Amino acid sequence: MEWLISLPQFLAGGLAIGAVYGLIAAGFSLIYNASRVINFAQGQFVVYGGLLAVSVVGLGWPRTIGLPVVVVLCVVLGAALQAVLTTARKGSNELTFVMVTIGIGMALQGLAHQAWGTDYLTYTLYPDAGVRIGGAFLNVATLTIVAVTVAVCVALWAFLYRSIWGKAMRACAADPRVAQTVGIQPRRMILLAYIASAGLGGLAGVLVTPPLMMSSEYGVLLTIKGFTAAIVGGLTNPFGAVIGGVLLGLFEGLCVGMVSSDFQDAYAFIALMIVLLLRPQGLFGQVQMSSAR
Amino acid sequence: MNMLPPSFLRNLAPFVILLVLAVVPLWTTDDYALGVWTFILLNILVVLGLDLLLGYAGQLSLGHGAFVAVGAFASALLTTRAGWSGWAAMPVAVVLAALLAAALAIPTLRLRGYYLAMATLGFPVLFDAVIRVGSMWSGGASGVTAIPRLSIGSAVLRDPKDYYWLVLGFVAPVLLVTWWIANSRLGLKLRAIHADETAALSRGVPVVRLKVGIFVLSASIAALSGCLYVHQVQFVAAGTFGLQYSLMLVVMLVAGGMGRIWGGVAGVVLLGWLSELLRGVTSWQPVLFGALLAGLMLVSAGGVAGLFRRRPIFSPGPLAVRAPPLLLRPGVSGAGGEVLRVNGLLRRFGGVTAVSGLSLNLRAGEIRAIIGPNGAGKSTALALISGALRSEKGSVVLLGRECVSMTADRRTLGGLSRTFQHPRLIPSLTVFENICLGSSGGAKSLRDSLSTARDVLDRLKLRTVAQRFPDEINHYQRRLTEIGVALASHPAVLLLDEPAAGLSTAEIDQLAQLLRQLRDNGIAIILVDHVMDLVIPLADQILVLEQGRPIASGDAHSVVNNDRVRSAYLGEAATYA
Amino acid sequence: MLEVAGLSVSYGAARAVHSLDLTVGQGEIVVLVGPNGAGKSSVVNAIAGLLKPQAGTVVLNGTDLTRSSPAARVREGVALVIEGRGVFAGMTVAENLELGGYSRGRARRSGGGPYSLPRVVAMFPRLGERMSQDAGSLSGGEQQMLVIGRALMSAPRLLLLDEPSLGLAPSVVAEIAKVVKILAREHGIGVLVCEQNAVLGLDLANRGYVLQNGNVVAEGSCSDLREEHDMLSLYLGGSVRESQQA
Repeated sequence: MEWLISLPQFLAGGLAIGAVYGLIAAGFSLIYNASRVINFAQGQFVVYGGLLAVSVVGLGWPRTIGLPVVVVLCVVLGAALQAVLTTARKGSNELTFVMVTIGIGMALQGLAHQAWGTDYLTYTLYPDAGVRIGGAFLNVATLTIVAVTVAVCVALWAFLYRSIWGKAMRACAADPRVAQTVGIQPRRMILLAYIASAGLGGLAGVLVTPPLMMSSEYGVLLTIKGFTAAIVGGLTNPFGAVIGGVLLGLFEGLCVGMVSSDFQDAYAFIALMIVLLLRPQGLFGQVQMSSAR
Repeated sequence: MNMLPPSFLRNLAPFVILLVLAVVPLWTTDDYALGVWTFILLNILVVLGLDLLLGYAGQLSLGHGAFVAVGAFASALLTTRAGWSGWAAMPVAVVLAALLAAALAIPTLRLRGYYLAMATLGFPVLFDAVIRVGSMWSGGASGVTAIPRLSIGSAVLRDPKDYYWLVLGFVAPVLLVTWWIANSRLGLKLRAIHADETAALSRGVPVVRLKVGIFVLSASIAALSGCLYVHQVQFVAAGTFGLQYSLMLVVMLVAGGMGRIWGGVAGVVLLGWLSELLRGVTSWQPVLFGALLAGLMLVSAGGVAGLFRRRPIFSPGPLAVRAPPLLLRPGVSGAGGEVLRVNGLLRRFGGVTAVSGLSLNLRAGEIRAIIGPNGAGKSTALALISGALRSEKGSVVLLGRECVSMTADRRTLGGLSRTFQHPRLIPSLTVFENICLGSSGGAKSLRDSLSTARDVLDRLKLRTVAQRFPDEINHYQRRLTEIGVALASHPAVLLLDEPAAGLSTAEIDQLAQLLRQLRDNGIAIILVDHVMDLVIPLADQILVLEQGRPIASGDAHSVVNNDRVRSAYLGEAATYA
Repeated sequence: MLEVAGLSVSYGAARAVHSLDLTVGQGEIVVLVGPNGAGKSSVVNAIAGLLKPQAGTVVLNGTDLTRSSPAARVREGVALVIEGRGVFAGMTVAENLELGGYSRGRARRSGGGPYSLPRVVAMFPRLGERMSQDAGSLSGGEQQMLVIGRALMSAPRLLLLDEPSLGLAPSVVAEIAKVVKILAREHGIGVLVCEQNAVLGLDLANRGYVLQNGNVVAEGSCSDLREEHDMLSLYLGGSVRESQQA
């Protein structure tokens, strides 16, 4: 029965990282909705967000200026990625784009390795404090990350449901051809999706590095986990993806606490296979892609 | 076997490659260079399997290194901990890799999308964790050491040259097998899956089974490479075949050229040596090779092999002297028995009923037309009968067998073929090869497939364009080719979806003539079209659909004079304010 | 107002439209009738910029649109309602309408002009009752009104309607016809309609072109076409003519 007492703490342990997975997953969803491409470089935005933040703080910049600048830099990176993709020759199919993102992800990870090495780096951001809620201790880092994620979701919701550009993005995802008939330019919507995803990733990196540290090696792992989270929540629904991320983080926390921390990174893979076996469209997604039809 | 010069040269190519590789130790001066070449051979093994998977079937695996690691660890542990001989450990390691591959592939490959790619990114993470956690028996991060070398008889293979030739001895059969697969009908099917899974299904290709099978095969070959590796290097640890390695395999394949077999070999050799040259800047390699991968995919995706035009694998050979035989399905008499009975098919999309209450009986040698105004559900009806869409209820009995829950590929093999409104030919295959794809279903011999394909080609008078690709021929020829692909599987029932679309009057006449010939041969035809000049003279009976429901059925005269039908097309006179 | 000259459209190797000429005047309703596969959709899709024609020019009020992107054409006043309506499913009626005015900016969308949201909604009261409903759950007729309303939000000078009566009951079709006539008459919008239903089409429009296999086989005022051209055989083939004579 002892594990029952520790249960809340196990869950709390996964909350922060779960929020991060959620932000990455939302980025996957936005890009997928806009262009049907799975962006294998998604995790790199988080890595660059975190490591650039470390450098910027290390240079002595005040955090209130430096951290937003870092997020902006990540946004630029996202725009650059999309620009590169548009140079693809005519007649390129999805596999081509996906493999380009794989190559770019690989190169970005290599660059990060050159710039920052493979060590785990961090900087200070949060005060050492926390609250006790229901049997679990939640530190300021976790609370901040969760709060920011909630705020991001609200902002994302406002963007997608209250602003004309967000609505245009949704329209483009629903039917790009018809969207053109009302004057929407799918190219721009795709660029917007990449920018938003990169921003989300960069923000996640900035926030999660102080408590959990960041290394240039994390990129692929974060990509896998973000994708898993997106599948759990439903690839076509960005909010579902965020929830998927939180669920994945909680699942990881639970498994780490109750089973073993040695398999920490493997739990996401196990979760992915389970979801694919049982419910490929995830919790909130719609389309079930089946090869047999 | 008819050996035309081009295919003779092609069959020679793997031997040439092996010969070149075999003489390498004779002119390499130092052991270090020989070691590099040995690693190149080991990577060639893996990339050959990866090429079948990615280059031919178009399925992306980003974690093939993990299967190499499975082979390596299994072999290492069985020989060091359990005292097995290296030769005995090898098959066990390969089978283990095959089982793991099947476990990964089955849930992911039944879906369309990049699930396999993500799963293969994640699997190495799990494997790595298992190795590290089980370090008591696996050696964990410090690895397994003192792995014994392989020996033949009592002679232990120590000399690097001997080892090189041993590995080459494994590369040879794998190269020949992958070469053979790539240049066989199976190769056509894999390329069809890559290009258009829906079309492949309708040609009788068992898409999911083949995808899984090729994945398992490629993983097994990778494991074999791992086994050979550990007995030379005598050491393996948790990080030996990491993500970097897996991605490098893909880069090597892309650089050399996917989908050519020899391209993969070239890529491994080139990038293997490039990697050596760049040894001083190892840490920059991911950046360089990642950029190379991205750049290649953006520009051409053909790699080195892409500079050379691909030659067709199958050619029709000389023109037949005798008239092509009847294209009847073996075992079906053309005598007018019932071949298809459809009853009560229903399909809804959300709140809209696309088709409801679709029923018809079809006899051999009968032409049934389905007509109706736009939006009547004609294409959906065809899709339900062919299996491209699943019906919510009802039955489809084809040649006495209930097949309403069968997928499209099984219905095709069972005797029901279809064409599509916009011809879905495989762009990377010639006209003749597309038809061969149609005739390759089931367990027929190569000779039968080729001879059927030749007969269809000549019957449809497509001989002049047999070696051209679909984008090089005109619309009518594409139409005919599609019909040819459907005919090549010896259908008892042929479904034609708007075959007359885009044809001139003369072409429509020729098409009508062809359909009459097919009917006279005993093939039953369901024809959906708007071009009444084709439909009305040809059809024995016409079924009229409106808003998904049948509203009239009968011969041409009665249907054309049916008031309900007329108003469905022309509309009832409405009053306007 | 709209001048199309020498328009040729192909899908791969298949010619869908052969060197077609047509015009639409301000405030005029012009119909393209013909059976399926005649090329009607290809014509309006090419005018809207969704299809790239092999040859021909599209000129609207003196501005050559032939090389313009679809978005640029919307800004010039071309509004297309595609076959099958094309609502943005998963989005509300209000959002659909709002998106129609995407190219015009917020002030114009919500202001008081004739193509602002309140005025368009006033034209289609049934939509006004369903503003927060998912557009995908509307009936066929309501969806048709929605997409016409959405097209109006872009303040069009040329309205292209592809098969507006598809799958709709006669009473609903009559309502839509009424609206279209008002748009032409009172707002001076030029309307080009593709209609498979020849009776409907010729009743609705002032002038018509009869298309078959990508060619114009007859053109003129609708009353002339109604009397002189044999519509039935256009759809059901020459054998109809025979049975009519029998």
